[in-house]
Amino acid sequence: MKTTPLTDWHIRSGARMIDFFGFHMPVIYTSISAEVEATRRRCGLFDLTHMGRLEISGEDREAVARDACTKDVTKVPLGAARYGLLLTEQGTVKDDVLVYREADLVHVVINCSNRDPDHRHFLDHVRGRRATVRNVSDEQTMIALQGPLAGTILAPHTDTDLAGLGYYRFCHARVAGAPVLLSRTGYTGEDGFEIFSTVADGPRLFETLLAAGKPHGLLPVGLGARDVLRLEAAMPLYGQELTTDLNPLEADVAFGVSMKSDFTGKAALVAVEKAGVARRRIGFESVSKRVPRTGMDILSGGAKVGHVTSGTASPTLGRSIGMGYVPVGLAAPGTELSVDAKGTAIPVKVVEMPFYKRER
Amino acid sequence: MSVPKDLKYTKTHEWIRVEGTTAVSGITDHAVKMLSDLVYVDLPELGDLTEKGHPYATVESVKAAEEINAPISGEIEAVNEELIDSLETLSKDPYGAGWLSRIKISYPDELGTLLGPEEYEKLLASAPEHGGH
Repeated sequence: MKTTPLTDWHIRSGARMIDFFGFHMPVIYTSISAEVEATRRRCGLFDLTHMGRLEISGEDREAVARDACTKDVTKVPLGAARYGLLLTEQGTVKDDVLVYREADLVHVVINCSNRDPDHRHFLDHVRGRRATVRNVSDEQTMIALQGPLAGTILAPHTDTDLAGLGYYRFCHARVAGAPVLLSRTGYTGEDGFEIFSTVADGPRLFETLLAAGKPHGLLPVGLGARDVLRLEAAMPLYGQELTTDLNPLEADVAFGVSMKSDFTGKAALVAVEKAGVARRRIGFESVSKRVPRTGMDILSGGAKVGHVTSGTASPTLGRSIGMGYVPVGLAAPGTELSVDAKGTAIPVKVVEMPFYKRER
Repeated sequence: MSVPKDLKYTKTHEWIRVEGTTAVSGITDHAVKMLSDLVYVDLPELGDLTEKGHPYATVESVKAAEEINAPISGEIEAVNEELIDSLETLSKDPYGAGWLSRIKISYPDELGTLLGPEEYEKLLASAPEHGGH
């Protein structure tokens, strides 16, 4: 199984470890609800080294990235990151990514399970032009610091003025003396940072931030709580809300698509836009303590109309929440549906997403 | 991990305390710790017949739903209704106030097939931890 520069630390700290797409990763350190609460109210520290990272360089790098990804990189301000998708020719979703535009480089952060396919996707779009696509996933440590106190905790340990680093902006910086790419992004619905460093600097960075956060009530956060946090924020997860069976319009991620750009999958997506979608991603909640889970059927009037893609008990909201796909006629907020939990019907109601939104 | 000496155990982390012809049953400290963050318990009905090794209750945590197997065959004489509104009892005291049900034992012979505390401790020591998501 693959490890990260922090695997030894996770094991020493007593985390419960799992195999996550071939990576030996921490799922719980203390408890999911404690880790969610720390991130929502104070701060959480995450090892995200398993995520994949690509770098595209060379004169034609932006033309290549523009063809490969739905978000037109040439329209992204320098020093900013944007959400985008990699599509099949049929206009369905191969992955969701963040594209970072620098003066001489395009960075792409991709899902762990898609490291190799996404690398190939970009390589396939070079088409003889002057661009190099490198998979730098194994050359970096990726750490996230997320929560309302993230800036307070990070500020004394970086040379960067964090007040000048807006949401979805990034810069080269030093953290604890180490050269890093510092990005104000995350997957929790909170303010926070994602920090990309060398492999060698990773453990020291992690321990510095952990120690700096301790007096503020920071906790290390495992993949279990990370999944709850992103679900409360209604952020889609590749493999669940996003698959090669679904297009970005059904998945309600059109904000990640530059419809004026000419990316792979564009023609198919234009056709979908013209015809309209038949089903749509919804968010639902339940007053029941029973929890809808991935793969369960969604019912309307006793008949199957869709399926649950993610579900959890939400520690922040104190009720069960989930996402799934249903026909557009049943997707309006307020629609009453049910979820079939092995023969028991859990009553659910379609609600606006996100389920949780931080106060700004 | 606490493993009281006066109980009998199953490989799937249930326990029973034999009291005459009935058995008080629950899930072990290990099971509770593995589930983490309990949110829901679905208990059997009074009078339900249980079959050893077959699911008879469900416990849900934030991230997973787990079937609880009947540790012994019999008839449900009582269930711990208080758990439904206070699951922390199950987390805090899995062998006491966190009991799940009382089962009238159908086949006393089955008791011999359960694990003693030493055997259960050995099982815990040898089993790799299995995680959630």
